[in-house]
Amino acid sequence: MARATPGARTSDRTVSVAVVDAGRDVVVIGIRHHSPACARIVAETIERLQPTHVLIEGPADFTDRIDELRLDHKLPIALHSHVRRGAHTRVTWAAFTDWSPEWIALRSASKVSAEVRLIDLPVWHPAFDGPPDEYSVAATVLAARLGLDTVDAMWDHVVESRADTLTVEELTAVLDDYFDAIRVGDATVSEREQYMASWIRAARERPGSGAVVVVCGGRHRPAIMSELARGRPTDGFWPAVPTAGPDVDIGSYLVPYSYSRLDLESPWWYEKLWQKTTSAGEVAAAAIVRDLRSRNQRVSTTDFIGFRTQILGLAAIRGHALPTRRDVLDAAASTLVGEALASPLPWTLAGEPLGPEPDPVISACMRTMRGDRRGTLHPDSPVPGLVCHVDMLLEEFDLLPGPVVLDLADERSRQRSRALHQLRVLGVPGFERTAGPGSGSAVVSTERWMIVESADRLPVLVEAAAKGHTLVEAAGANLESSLTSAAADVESLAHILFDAVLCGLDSVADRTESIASESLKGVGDLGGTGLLLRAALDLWRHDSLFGSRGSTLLGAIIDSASSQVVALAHRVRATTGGADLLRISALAALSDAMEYATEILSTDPADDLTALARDNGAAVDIRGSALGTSWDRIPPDAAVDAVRSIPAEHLGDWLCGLFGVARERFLDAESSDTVLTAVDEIVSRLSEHEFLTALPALRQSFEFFPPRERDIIARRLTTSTPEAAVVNSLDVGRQLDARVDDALAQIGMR
Amino acid sequence: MTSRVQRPPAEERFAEELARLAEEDTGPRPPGWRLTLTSARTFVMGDVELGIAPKYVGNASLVERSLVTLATTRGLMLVGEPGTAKSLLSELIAAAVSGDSTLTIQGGAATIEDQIRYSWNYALLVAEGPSTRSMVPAPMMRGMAEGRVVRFEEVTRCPLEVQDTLLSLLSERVLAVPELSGDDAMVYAREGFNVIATANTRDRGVNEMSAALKRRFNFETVHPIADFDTEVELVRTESAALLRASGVAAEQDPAVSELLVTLFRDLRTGFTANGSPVERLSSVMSTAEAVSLAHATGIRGWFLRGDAGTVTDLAESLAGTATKDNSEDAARLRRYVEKVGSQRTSAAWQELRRAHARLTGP
Repeated sequence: MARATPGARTSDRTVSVAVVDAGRDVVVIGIRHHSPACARIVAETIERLQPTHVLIEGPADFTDRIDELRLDHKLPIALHSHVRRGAHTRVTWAAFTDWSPEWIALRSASKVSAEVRLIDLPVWHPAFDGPPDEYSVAATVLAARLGLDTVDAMWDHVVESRADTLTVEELTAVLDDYFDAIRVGDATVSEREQYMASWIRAARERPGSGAVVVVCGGRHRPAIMSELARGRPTDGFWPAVPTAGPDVDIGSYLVPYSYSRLDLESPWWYEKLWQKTTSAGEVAAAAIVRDLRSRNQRVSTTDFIGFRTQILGLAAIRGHALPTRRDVLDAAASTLVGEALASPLPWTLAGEPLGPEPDPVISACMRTMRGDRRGTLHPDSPVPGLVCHVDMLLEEFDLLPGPVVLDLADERSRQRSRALHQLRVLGVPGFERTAGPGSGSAVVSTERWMIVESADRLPVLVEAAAKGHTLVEAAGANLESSLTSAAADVESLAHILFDAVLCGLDSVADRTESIASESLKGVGDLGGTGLLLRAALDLWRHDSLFGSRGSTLLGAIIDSASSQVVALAHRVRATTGGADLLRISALAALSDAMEYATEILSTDPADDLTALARDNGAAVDIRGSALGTSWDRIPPDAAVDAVRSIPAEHLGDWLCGLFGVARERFLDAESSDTVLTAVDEIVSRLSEHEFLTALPALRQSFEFFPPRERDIIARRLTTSTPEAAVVNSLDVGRQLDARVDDALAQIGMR
Repeated sequence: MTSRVQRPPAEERFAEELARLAEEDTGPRPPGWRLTLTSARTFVMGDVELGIAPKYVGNASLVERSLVTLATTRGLMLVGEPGTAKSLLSELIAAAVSGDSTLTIQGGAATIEDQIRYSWNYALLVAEGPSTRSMVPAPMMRGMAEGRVVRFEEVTRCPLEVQDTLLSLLSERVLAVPELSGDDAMVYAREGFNVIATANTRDRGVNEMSAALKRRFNFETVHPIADFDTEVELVRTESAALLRASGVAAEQDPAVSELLVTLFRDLRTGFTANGSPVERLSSVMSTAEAVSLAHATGIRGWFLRGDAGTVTDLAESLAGTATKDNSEDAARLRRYVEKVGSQRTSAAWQELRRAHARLTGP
């Protein structure tokens, strides 16, 4: 078993065969994962040698549990292991297919009653923490030298295409040459390789030991061979298996796997190669054509003939006794595609995903060659605690497949909702919320869920178990990592925090607070931060639906978002643009936080805001808003001075800021009359042109007042001026209506 | 007057290699072919051990697919952006397969059937009536009669009805000459005949081509060179060869071709090498265009001042390239040079930034 880390596609897919004869047979078979040719060598070698020991590259601490692998599983399955140190989790998968050489080794060993041992260091060992080795680089260089574009193509060309025409000895020699060529010039022996060699030596020296067959990654073989050749003495005792420290949480469980998840481009193809029923090329050609026709793509009989001819032609020009995967794919691209392709053929690019809209033929090829087989575990396979915990919760909360309706106002329903949200956040399939509150301000209290059974539930839960032993712990860890990856994207942050509220995790996970606060410090969007602050504040003050009122996480968010609003507001400099309602709302939210959440704000931003209000270089609407936050504490004279300090053309924007934050306080404050008079004086002095320029912003600013308050303001203004009697808007309107009616009556239209 | 031909056809340029490959490889050949499939591939892609120069830089599997297609009953259609070496590839393959790359039809709006099938020597036609003597065979007829590969460049630029002339030729493999009688009235295609068509995706793509004709071709899309180092190396060697041919004795600074290829790749794909997005140009930013820019840079330097050409020369030529198709591109190029140039500290980039700013003004 060698490991494949997700993302490192070709780096670790080798595992080969080598032969050392030290009195007794020690055969080291260097293999590549999921290679039918290697599987054949392993099977035939073990059958021929009837060894007493079969040693396989894989975590030595799993040897005690190797019987789990012998259960009657339906492949593909994978051994999923995790290592958690504090907040850092590393997971690895070692996948098995029916033709995995390691799997075949295990099966064949049972047949000849050989003792099986896994001989690599455990996955938590620091030896695995380093950067991936140079295998893929060396292999890519070799492939380029052979005129092949990917390592996969090279492997098929060098090994798989000849597997049927060579004897096991010849094929083994090919493999050894292949892996020697890849490791050439690298004489270092890694810690893992030394450890594996120590097991091999022990097996060789043990009393009563016969032949020993070793199955390991091909790229390790040259190093293991040189290590064995050094002939260090051994007492025949098995090497010690290192044990992890108490600070490390480790776990290894089998999970059902599927062809689509395998770190292998075309599992279906290799399955056909392994089964050797008929020519895999012909079977694949027929399957691709069938797939295309089932999707209403036209493939004529002539096209089909052309396709098959092309496969044979390509195999011939490339010297393949049997067509390889690439021959089939290339032939399909040649003969079935009738358009220019937007991007290079995906199989010519190692590990790159398909473009946004791949050609239907290319998609059909990839889909067919990948296959859709899914594995299942034997029911007796052990599962991690989280799986049992979830089963228990689902039973306790009566969450069975089918629709579920929850009223969040009810405590038990809220508990059920939280469990469902935790499963949703973990990405466990089969738990879908079809309706429910979408934000903290939503007025609905009913949630609807649809629960369905899914084959993916178990593997996802087993993998989620790497993050925690209970549902709350795992979901919390997931939210934390989402928060970390959301970084300074305020929209994602808001989304994740609302998820935390829905999951009821907002007062549980301590570290979440610091991560979220830290992320907020990087946010550069004032409007977005304001929205987040507003939402958090509303929930913290009023929420009864989700049970998040007064939550510590929301408190921390309110505190850091408030500081961030102040910091960002300072950064907005005066420009020619008008008032920005979003940033005004941000300061309004801040003002509310200062008023209603004073006790959780670590610093009082009042002085900062006073300075901002006086800052001539700051945006005018922000200055108005900043002043608005402390409006009721400002003496009337100072307020009037502030109004007069603003240039007339920006007065409207400034008032927008002020009214947006302090509309209510403005009318209540004793300064309101004097300020209004000051504004009126400024406006009266404007020339016609200046007035027209200033008018839109002034209008916008008074729109913050509802009509009744606007009426009050108008009355206050008019009572203080001589033209008072005339400007009663209602009366004027009535008079106008009467005149219109008269005019209509006179011309007989009424 | 010099008697040197500017650019002899591939079969003349590489006559020695073709002869050697034909002689040494005794394996089975497709009927009518000069070389085996494997030798044809070797001829195009090169082989250091055999002393065969690499001629086409690109995907070997594309060449293999193309050759196999030509050995079947379908024509080969090479499609792709301009400047991706489609014509070069078609020339090399024709030279390898038939030893002759000159049976070429250049497609265009004015192409007519006569240029594809046959026409007449009207003096003889009037004097003697229709006969094989008064007939002027066009490339397609010759290719069929002689069993050679015919190249049809830019096939999609021909009117659709002219394109459809190929239909019966490709499926029936026979060309009828109704003016003649007896054996001469039917020209049957001999073994070795096939068609390599090229079409570029920029002006008129293959979408309008009739489905019937599409069916008679296998399509191969030629993409720009994927690997940065390979492209730099190609631009370097190709421009050096062109400069030598133009009588320029100075060696170009490697930084020039590296900068050029970086810039072209960024503007072609819309992403810099580290993944940050830039505005794509609508002008063609092909490797061929990069080579011709490097060439122009060298020519300017050498014949105007006697040096190898500087980044400033490059900037001058670049402005012209970017505005070829679209005046918007000039603005995009300016923004790109400003943005990327400010992040890249090398002397060449800084020089480009200064020169470009001077050229395009504030």
